[in-house]
Amino acid sequence: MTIALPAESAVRRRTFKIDFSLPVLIAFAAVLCVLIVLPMSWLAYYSVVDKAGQFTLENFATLVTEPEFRGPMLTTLILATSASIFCALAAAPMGWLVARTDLPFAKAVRALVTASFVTPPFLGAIAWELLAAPNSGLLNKLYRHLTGAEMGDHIFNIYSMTGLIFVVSCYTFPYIFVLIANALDRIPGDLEDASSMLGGRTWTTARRITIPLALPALLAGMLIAFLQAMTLFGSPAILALPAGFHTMTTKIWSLFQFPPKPELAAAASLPLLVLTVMLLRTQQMILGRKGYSVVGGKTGDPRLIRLGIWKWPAVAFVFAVLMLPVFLPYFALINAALSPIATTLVTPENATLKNVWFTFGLSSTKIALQNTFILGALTATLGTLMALVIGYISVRRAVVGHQALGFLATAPIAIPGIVLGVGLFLTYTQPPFVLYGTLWILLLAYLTIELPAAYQQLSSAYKAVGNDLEDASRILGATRLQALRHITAPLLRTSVIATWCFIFVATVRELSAAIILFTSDTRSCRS
Amino acid sequence: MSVLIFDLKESGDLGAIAVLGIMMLVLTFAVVITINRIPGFGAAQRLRNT
Repeated sequence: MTIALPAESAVRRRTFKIDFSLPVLIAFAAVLCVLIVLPMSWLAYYSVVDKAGQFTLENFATLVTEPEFRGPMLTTLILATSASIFCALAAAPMGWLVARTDLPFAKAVRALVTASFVTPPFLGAIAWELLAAPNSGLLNKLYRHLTGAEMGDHIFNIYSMTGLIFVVSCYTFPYIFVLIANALDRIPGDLEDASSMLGGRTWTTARRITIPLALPALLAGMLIAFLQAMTLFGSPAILALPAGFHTMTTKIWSLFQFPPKPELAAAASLPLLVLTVMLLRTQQMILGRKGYSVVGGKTGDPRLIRLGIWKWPAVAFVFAVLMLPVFLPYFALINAALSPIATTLVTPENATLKNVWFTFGLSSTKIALQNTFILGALTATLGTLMALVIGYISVRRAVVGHQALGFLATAPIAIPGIVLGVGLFLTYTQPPFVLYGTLWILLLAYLTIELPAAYQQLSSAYKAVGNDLEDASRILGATRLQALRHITAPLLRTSVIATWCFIFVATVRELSAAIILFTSDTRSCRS
Repeated sequence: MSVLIFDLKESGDLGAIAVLGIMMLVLTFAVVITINRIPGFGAAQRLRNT
């Protein structure tokens, strides 16, 4: 149907309309530069100057030559490598069992893996402290109770390199599981059926078809696990520091203790940044290998392998793995919350809500909750808005240089939280923008950290919505911003809500950047 | 809240940490469940279905 507009009114409408699209788009580009380019530039600058501001490479030389830095580097390397291997050993068979076999409770398993995925690793580390501290840990107490061993004897010591690798693996394996399970979900059953019809046995089909198709996901997952383990701050701070050793993230944090050494912190952050960029690029290359693409028309559902007598041993294996990141730590936390002494087993007789009243009676709890909700809501709202506009510009190619904007919005994914924290500290502790000690610096940090995920999510949503309706509104005289506000944004309502929620949750859990940027002033909400 | 938990850890107040930790988990699960209840992700899916 064609709508005929009176020519005069259309002309009049266009005459009085000012299109703010370009200035708004330029403003968003400027905001992105402030968020990302500025702190990274200061980070690079500080890494190559001394305290007097003179150019030097001494900071990097110190990193390589001083044993106090070589040790953490080696520890980080061992931690990341071991964690990625252990995660692969646990997650790959689990992913296969859930996606390609008739494993009972497969949906419950996926839900529980999600639970371990959303559990903050530092919380998991604290829970494992309650369970496996050498003297007070519940599991060690149980061991002494069952065997009559002496006080001081223990079978688990979470304050050790092994303990740290174990806990980090517990909360990193979901990355590999998700990638493997998704890859296996997408492999069409037709290929395996063809192999069977040509005489291939189950193992031959797995070896020649299924495993090669799932291998890129496994390798990519291992790289992500390596990256996570390498850049994690919370778990090493909780478990490695009492054990008397550092990882790179805790070492960077310690450089901000008195006397602060920001130049060294900047120099120590750069290798983490470079390695992260390289690993993400490698992961992208692995997942993007054309040789592994499955191209075809309508494909069959994945073929489920019958486990037969192995069904229940497989269930036992999967739930034994899930006990480590979910059941046992959650039990330890609930026990500690309800018990008069955190490391004593709670019983109906000694159960108490004393800890609950005590916690909510603390003034610091009220301020922390207030700050958390303010920052969570602000970050989620601004982050979603930015991702909405930048996604639009990027996907609809609205302005010249839209690729650069898309790149900038994705770039923070390669910046570890602690590195960004250092960059923001260096940027906003000096005039003209002295934001250190206020909530604003945290808002900037959270916005930067969460932007890539929000941008990716909303970009995908834009790609899925055709631009016909938007074009129609443009033909009828709407500006780009009006079309976005009145046509596209309402169509993306559910994606926008989901993105807001994702950012809110991620902000509430964030620790590594916050630990550098929080001060006692921030805590008292004087900003 | 995460920084408060970290600080309480340094002062050894494990009971309070557990309470705050459970609160954080409950909040996270509530949001994750809410997101999963949203019918489809984006209007695109609804448009395709109609």
